[in-house]
Amino acid sequence: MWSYALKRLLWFIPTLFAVTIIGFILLSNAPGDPVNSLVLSNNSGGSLQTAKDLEHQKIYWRKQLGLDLPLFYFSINKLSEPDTLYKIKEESLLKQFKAHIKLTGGYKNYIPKIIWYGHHNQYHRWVFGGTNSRGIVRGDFGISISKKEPVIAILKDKLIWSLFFSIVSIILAYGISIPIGIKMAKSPDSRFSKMSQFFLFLMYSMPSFFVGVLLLMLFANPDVVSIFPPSGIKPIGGYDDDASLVSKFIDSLPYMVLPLICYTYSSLAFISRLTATSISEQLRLDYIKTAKAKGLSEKTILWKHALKNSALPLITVFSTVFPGVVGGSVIIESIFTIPGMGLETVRAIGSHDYPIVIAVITLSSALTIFSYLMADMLYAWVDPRIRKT
Amino acid sequence: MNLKKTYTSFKLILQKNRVLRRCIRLFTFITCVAFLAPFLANDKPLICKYKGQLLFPAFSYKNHVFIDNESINYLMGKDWQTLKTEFSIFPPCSYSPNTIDADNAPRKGPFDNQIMNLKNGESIPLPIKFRHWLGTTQNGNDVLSCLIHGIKISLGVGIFSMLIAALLGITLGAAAGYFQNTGLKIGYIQMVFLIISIFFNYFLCFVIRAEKLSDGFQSGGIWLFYQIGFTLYLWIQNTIIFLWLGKWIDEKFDFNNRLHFPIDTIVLRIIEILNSIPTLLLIIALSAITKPSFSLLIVIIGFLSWTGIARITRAEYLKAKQLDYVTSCKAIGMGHYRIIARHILPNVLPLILVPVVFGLAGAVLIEASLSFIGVGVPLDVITWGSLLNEAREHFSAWWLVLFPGLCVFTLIFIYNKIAVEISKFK
Repeated sequence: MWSYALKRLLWFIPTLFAVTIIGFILLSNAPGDPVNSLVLSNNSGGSLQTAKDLEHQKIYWRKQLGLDLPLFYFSINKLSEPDTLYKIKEESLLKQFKAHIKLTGGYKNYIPKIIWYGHHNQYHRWVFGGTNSRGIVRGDFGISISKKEPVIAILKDKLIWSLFFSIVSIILAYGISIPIGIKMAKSPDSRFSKMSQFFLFLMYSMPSFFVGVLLLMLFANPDVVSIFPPSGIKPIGGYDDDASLVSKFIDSLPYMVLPLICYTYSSLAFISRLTATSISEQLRLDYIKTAKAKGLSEKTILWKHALKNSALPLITVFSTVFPGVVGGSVIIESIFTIPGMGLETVRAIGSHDYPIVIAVITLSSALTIFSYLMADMLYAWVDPRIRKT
Repeated sequence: MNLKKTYTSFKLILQKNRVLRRCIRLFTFITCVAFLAPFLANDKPLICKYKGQLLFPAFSYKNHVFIDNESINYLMGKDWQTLKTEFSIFPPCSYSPNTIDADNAPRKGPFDNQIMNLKNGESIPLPIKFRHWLGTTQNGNDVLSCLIHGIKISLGVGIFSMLIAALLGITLGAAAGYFQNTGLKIGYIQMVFLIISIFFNYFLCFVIRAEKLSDGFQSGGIWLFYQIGFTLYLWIQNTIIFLWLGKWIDEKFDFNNRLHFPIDTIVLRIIEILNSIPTLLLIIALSAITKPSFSLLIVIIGFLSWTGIARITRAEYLKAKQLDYVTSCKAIGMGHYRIIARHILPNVLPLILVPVVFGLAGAVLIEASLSFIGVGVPLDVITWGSLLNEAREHFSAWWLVLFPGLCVFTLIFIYNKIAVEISKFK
């Protein structure tokens, strides 16, 4: 078991590496100079500064943020370009320079040149840490441009809400759809199984934003029925100061009902259908006949014997449902204004706060990868045959 | 590919399944509506007679026309309705999606009193042929017209992105399933050349052509497709040239040792990486970096959603490889390419279509979700999602929730139903 786990774990390192590369490519291609906005907003304090001071400040901040380093361990450039072209940060100047090189370079423009920079580069600093950065491996995603706070401090609370909703909704989805699936497998031609199949399929095709707005319109609308609050996650005034965790939960409960419906409904069809098919496959096997012959009750056979053996596909589904919940939460969070990662991303896009966006992408990709890893482990735990291969 | 064989297998499926036939008929109807949109919902009349001259404004691309030295502006929008013509026939919905009906401006419902302000200051009830059957939006756009013209975008994004995805997914999945880790053999020198070609191609495609590529991303449209397609073409062409060179050297110097090229592992790793990146978030992030456009959306969805197709294709090819007809194809010395494309593909195509059609539904959902939150899509085009977005602040405007939502639901439902029905046929 442990050697299998170690093997899987080793395979996940290149995957994580690739995900960080994608995140870094996005981050380094973000338009605008982050230093510019930092210096300009620092400047709005009122003190008059000369252009030279501004330039000095920019150089200072660049050094602090590691932006004066080359991008990657190596770079592939034209032979006509100088090695230290990356040090020019002014976009217009760089454009002029490149145009000049293109004109004068001649044949050297078409010959590649590989430059090795070593580990003093932005990617290494971003991932493993360096000057003024502890690296994303230690949870340092840089500084938010608009809020001037460490990204991880902003995302910490948001991540908790997002994870809370995804985990609760997954538990709810399994809790509701496994009994439905078992009932469907028990009597595949009954009216219940046909009706539930039809309605689950309808629900599966409903876009979540449509359901969300519809729910809000029906149940949080003073004109129709106003049982649930329309937005947010806790009372407007906040919790009481001395409230315990339980009373906080009870306070927040009405806020959670509609979002949880929205998160859960679409995966119901998928999971229950899968449960039904895999259990009905199991029911045809000989060991079920033996169990019946032994005189076990139908309930024990279905819930204990058949379900246990059909758990494998259900675990696979977990690794397909979980990423959907993390990524799909952008929509539901912005409908119900849940302060999660999705809503934070949409806000950050509005204020051109790229470090947050990239952090969200990298974090949720890493979470998804770990969910795959977990599913693999569960798989091996449930079915010992897999460990052998 | 054996087209005749494929066609007969599809005909068989269609003959057996009534639900599938109905779904495809409905889908064809929706496609026809999308193509006929300019003649179904347009603010210009189809035919009108003005000062004795017959005009066909809805069929014309002109901006204006001169009649008796008087210029008639074809783009006058709502003024067509009050123009004193001898007779005129309007389309069933007499508004374009960008026509602004200021008289019924802030959200008039289908059953509300819709009015029309005449030039002399009088206001009369809106004539029945100009009625907003499904209400208006905040600015006074006609909802029905926006819905009809929105089909084009929803269908287009889905179909074009899935074309890319199917091409990538079927190619890579078939290669992974058919060759697996041991089927493809490659010489040592060839392997070295392959690695060199990656660096060289990077230089060629992303350093020399950097400006053109970024230009494509910024301008969008057909130019983006051209740039990305050309980059891919260059990459593949050069890789083939390098591989060919390596093979030549291998043969020349008689290097007989050959490596297994682990194409199965590589494809599975790529699938895992792509699956772990949340599509919606990536599109949102990319839209922040480049100018959002529908062509960019198509490309991103296409390049991210081939994984499901590749997985199923791989599984089907793995199964098909064991079957007798493939063994006999090999026994008579048929080439790999011919077996993959002409013998296995037509047999497994109906099953590969299942993830493709599910992908269509997924792409429609992504496009609608993005326009719902208003990120990652051009904001000047009114789509089904952006109509729903308007309803978020005004719950009294139920028509802005119900009709666009039902449209998205119907399209996704049809796709899902088609996919499920095809998957039943095995």
